[in-house]
Amino acid sequence: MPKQEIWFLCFDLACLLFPWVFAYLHSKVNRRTPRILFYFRYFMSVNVFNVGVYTIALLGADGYNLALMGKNLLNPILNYYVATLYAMVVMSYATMYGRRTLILAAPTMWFIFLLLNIFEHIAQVGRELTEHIVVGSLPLFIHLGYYLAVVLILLGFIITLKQRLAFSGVIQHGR
Amino acid sequence: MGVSEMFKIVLILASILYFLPWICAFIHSHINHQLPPIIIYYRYFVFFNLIVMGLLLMLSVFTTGHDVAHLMNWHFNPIFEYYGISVLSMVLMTLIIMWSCRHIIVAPLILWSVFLLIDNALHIQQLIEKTLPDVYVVYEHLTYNFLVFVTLIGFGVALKKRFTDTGVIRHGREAYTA
Repeated sequence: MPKQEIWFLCFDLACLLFPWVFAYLHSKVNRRTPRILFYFRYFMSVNVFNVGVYTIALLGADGYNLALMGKNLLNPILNYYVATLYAMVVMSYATMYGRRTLILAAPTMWFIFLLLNIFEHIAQVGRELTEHIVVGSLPLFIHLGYYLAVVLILLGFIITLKQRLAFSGVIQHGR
Repeated sequence: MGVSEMFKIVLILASILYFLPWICAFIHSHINHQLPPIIIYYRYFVFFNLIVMGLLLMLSVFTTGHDVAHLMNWHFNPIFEYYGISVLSMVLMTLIIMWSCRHIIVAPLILWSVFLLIDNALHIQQLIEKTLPDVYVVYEHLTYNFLVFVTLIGFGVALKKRFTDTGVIRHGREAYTA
């Protein structure tokens, strides 16, 4: 397996596992905040950071080179893509510390985004097979696995948080 | 298509998207007295300026993306599709949660305001770097984005005042006595 793929795999696995460890430790220290909020916030911060900020950084670093490779002075699409991701990341960070229904906005959006991304990755694998366009199969499969895992976990969080919010609209704190 | 034609199309489209929601909401609020008018106005505005606008943006990216990639001597460029996907996810998220009467209703507002703010910064950068052929279209985009941004902030402030202690927007008679 090439070095880049191993790096992707380790990074994605770390993003999937570390939030649970951190949240567990934090919930042992602070018993006033409900545990679900710790798990949710750690998971969202790490994984929004992983997909959002990492992609933004990659595009920021490579965007101009990519545009130059295409003999274009500037490719605004790259910048607009970064803009949408920035907006999604900022919105996620702004809403995930709430204790009302607004807390559900970020997982809902991220769930839809990753679901669409899964379809796109499957389409890319299909393109590789049918049109012989090499995009890089192995990272695609790693991404697919990661997105699937995150989508399922987010669904779990959405359901659990919705149950907690169902009656009063506010997540109860303390005892 | 000439530059001036493009300018006219953008102007007409932006005017429709900005002004039509107010007319529709005005008529709707006179028919439906159960919902607070602010919610009706907000939903129409969000529908036209976030959902319709987002879908148009996504469609233009998807339809022209491959041509642009081809023009740039790329065989295939997934970035265009990822951009389309991120806009589509913003649109779908807005479509799902704009019907709520709880705090979550302001989420699309936060998302879209940030997006418009960054978009305007990018347009200003394009004006400085002189990378686009039609400058007037960029000015139109800038004005439209700024107007929508200011309106969304206004809605945000108005909606925040409407929430009760339980985080629900007052309905029916309560909406008018608040």
